Amino acid sequence: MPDFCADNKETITAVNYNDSFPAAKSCLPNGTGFSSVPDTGIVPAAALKAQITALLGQAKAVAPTELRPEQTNPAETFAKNAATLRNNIRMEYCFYYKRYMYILADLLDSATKLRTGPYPEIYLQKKTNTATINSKLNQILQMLQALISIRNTELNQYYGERTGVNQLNDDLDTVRSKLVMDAKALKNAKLETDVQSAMVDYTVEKNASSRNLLAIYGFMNIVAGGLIFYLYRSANV
Amino acid sequence: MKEPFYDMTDNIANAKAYSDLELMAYLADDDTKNSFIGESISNTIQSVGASKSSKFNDLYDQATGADNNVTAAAYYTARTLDLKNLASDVDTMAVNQLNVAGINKGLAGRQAEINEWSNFNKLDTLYCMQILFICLTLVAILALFRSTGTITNTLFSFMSFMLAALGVLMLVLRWRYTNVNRDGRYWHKSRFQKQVDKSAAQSASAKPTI
Repeated sequence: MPDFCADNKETITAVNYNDSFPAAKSCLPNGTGFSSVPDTGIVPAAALKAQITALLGQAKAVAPTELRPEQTNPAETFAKNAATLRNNIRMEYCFYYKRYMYILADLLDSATKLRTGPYPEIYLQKKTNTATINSKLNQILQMLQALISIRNTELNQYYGERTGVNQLNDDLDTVRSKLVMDAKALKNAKLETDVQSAMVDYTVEKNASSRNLLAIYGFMNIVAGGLIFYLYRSANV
Repeated sequence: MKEPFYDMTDNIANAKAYSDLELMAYLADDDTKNSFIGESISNTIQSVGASKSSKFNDLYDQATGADNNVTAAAYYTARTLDLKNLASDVDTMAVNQLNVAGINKGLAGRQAEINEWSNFNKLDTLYCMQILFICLTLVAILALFRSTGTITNTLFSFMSFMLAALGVLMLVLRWRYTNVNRDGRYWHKSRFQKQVDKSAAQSASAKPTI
């Protein structure tokens, strides 16, 4: 078995070879495949796009190109969901791959034992089933191609000229320039505030000095007034 | 002489017939035929299986790579957005600090003006007290002269009255100048009658009491 089928230990028999992969995990429409596939086997692009878009939405594996504040870690969530989706596709491909290998071997073996003439019904049924399973395998491959294509489109949205990362980096540059200007202004403002604070300290000291002088002169005036009073009293006595 | 065109169609048909005949002769035996058929089926199955596996593995690897690229771009975008938001927050804080620094600068400047005004007011009061002290000293000297009989009572009274009047006049002049002409904000600035005083209300409210 190839690497992508290493974990599938299922035994395919004539009873279960025509089973379908669980629709809930299938990447094909309704789990059965596209309804209108031409003889070339190439699924119409519009149908592929509609199915892959629906599938990504259902698996919550759409690339988070627009980041919203309520999302905690959108990249990690996307990575997990995308890995789950890829794993489901791998399991589905393996599911049909094993059945296709089984029924193809059975069909070829039956074909070698056939004689000419009308083919038996069971052979025709096996042939139809083989073609159906092969068609599913091819559709899964086309779904993978569509997935790759849509991922490339999403990746381009991240690196648009005026969108995504480039726009954010432009915004970041603008904010950084403002920060540099603000830092300069803050330094100047701090210097001015320091000078003003020093001026306040200086004027407080001058006030204290003047207050001392006032106290001294107040005292001297009281002494002078007392002296006059003393002389006045002594002259009258 | 030009060679005539030789038609190879017959030779090809003959070779195919010989080959088929050889194969038919080879497969005449049932065991050999069954073995040949089994081998052919096995080869076909292997070839188909390899083709299917190869195509899927190739596309699956491409899809994984594309998903990883998108994841990396999403992380890069998210981190760049975080960085931008952080820078914006820091810038907002810086602007707030600038505003606070502006307010503080204004407050400190105004406090320095108030202190300066208060200091010069104290110096003005000190000037008045010095005048008062000089007057009292002179009166004391005159009182001493009067007690020794050097000057008469009348002269003493006159001189004392004149000194007291001089002191009061000085006090009144200083008081009037400070309260009428002096600017309420800047001590060394005078207000004039024709001058429009825009900050009269502010100066009056900001003027400290003695």
